[in-house]
Amino acid sequence: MIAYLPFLQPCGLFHTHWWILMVPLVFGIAIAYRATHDATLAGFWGRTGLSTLKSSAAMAILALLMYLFVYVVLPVLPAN
Amino acid sequence: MRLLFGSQAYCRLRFFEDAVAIAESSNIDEPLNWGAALSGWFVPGFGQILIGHRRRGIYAMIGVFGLFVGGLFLGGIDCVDRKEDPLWFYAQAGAGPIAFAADFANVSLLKTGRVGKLVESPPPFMSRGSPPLVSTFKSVTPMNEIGTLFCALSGLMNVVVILDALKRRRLEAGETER
Repeated sequence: MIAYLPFLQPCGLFHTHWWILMVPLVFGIAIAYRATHDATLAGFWGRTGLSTLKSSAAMAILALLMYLFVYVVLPVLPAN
Repeated sequence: MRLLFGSQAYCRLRFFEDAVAIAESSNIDEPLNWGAALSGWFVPGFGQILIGHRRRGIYAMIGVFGLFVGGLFLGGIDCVDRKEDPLWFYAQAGAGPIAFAADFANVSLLKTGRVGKLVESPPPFMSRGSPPLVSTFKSVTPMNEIGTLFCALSGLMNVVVILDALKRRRLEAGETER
């Protein structure tokens, strides 16, 4: 991290755990979505957090299902 | 089965609530807010602020700018490249002049070698020309893909914000934002 120039060089923190960045990505989308789609702004951050949680959980479940399909289901299928 | 029907009813209810909320906030009989929409492209969320929805505009601004600046932080300014990644740039350009500024910074700082060094890279397949020069600051890891995605989604979300400013009912003087 010596001589690291933010915004000019890529950040070196998440190379192997890049998938964690799904959460801030979904959070940013949820902020803009909730700001434009909610009738009232009361409890804005709570609903934004809930949207983030739901979307992240849905993607985590899909990732788990894909993992099980590739590593558990596919190996037991007959080859021919 | 009961859970399935229960969730279907819940989804229909939520869809109905969202549709009513959007219809109530829209100005179906009034002219579209073209000025607000245009200014929303220059500064994300500013369109909502212009028509009286100050808090809504600030939240939208936080979301769009947060995604774009986050993308630049993660992947570096090389994530925005009008020449090399034109399709991604079309989406990123939705975020406004900040996308063009990032592309300009990429071209004028990294691609000219003013920051970092220019080194030879392997030539493209079946190419006879001299090997292309690339900056040592060019991002080639998954961080480049993630940063590009952040900036592109920022631009696409700003299109949603612009369309909202175009249709949203302008608040009258003395009317408070809900």
